[in-house]
Amino acid sequence: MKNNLAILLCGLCGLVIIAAFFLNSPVTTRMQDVLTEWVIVLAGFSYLMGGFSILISHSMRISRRAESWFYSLVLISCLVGMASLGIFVDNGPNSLFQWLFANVQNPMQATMFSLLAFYVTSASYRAFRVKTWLATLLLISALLVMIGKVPIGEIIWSKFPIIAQWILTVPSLAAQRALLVGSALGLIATGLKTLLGIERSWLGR
Amino acid sequence: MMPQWLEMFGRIDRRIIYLAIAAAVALPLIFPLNLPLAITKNSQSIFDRIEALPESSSVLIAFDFDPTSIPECQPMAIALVRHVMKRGLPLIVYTNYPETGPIADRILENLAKEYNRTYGTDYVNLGFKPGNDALLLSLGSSWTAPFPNDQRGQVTAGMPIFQHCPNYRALSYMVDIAHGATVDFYITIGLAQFGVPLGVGVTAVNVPQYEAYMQTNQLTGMLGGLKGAAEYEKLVGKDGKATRGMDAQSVAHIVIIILILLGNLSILPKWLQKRKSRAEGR
Repeated sequence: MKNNLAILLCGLCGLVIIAAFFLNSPVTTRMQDVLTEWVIVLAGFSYLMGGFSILISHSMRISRRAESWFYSLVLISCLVGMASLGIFVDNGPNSLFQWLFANVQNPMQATMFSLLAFYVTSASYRAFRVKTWLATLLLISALLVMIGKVPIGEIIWSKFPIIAQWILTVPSLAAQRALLVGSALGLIATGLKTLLGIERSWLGR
Repeated sequence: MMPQWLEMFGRIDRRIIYLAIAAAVALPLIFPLNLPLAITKNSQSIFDRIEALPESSSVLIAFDFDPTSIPECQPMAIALVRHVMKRGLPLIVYTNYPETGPIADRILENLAKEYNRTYGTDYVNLGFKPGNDALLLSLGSSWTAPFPNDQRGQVTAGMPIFQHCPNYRALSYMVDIAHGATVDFYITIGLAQFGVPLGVGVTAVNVPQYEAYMQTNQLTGMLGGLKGAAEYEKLVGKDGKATRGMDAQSVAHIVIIILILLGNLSILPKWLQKRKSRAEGR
């Protein structure tokens, strides 16, 4: 009974959103607004739950003195410290909270991503080898796109950018479209199955 | 007979590769090459769209990136905000990433000073709110209901900027600067349901995916990676980090290509030997 009610509610909510898309009437739009407000509130709570989940799991690691527990301590200190600064002290443009964010968090995240340049170069050097004709095709396409997408490519030969654009907009795009259409069909099928109550994994079973 | 020493090109130590790429990125930033940059149609069309908007047309720029994509996305954001502020069009900004509200605030504040624009009248930063596509659906009815307070904590109801543009549907143009999949719901909801023309600025790795929407004219334009950002800097007439970065990217690509070619040169002796022994076997 409980499950049927949940499936019925899910189906009704889905129908309201679909109706609002096609009908564009004030009634369906108002109903859609109420539903989306609920989603926003629920999404807000998911952040809160995520925070608590991190706090609990890392507290347990510290209490059990699990391997590298010290890093859990650093994580919890930063989490509690930053949250306290933002909630109880000040989170305005010139606050310590924003300063820490701009000068610690931002550079750290950017640094992690920048490391990709080194790994990608090393991986390309090792992986792009002419072993089969398909690998050769991939290698030639990659080299042409790499050279055609930077200004120096045009200086070397004016046709490089045109060739690179052709690779991106013809063969590559054909494959991309196949993926897009395939995933869209899958999405429609999953959506319909959920609305009709056939797909029930979201109920936890 | 190919010399066997060619094989050593296949065993270059990874520390040498890391050093080579570090030098390839750093040196052109220190000693700029000022390589010429051609403007592509995809970038030009966003510029032309904004340029052709009538006065008091509201524009939304969504800052849908986080610090990991700052090198590519922030120069796009600066160039686009500069263009909108230069034209004096009302500008609304918000983000689907919790980290990005303050980043947007800094960019807006600096450029507003330069162009003498007033907060709440000429531009506003709504900040972050969770919900993604649900949030976008909600914005179709009102800016102020899902965002009762902006990034700075100010009450949004009654702000002059929302008098002519009460909701998403009333926008004249929208650009999503994204490093993820947020573009998808601006296409399916913002464009298909609300009918707001859309341009995007995406990281280079996402360009092939969204090229499909350029061909179908669902997107009015696309800034692709650092190159797209550099092109837009040229279009608005103010070189920035992206223009400087293009020299570094050019040299880095050349270094990667050389390394790949060296790696392939190393397997040449083995390949020739294999071919020879196969011919002898016959």
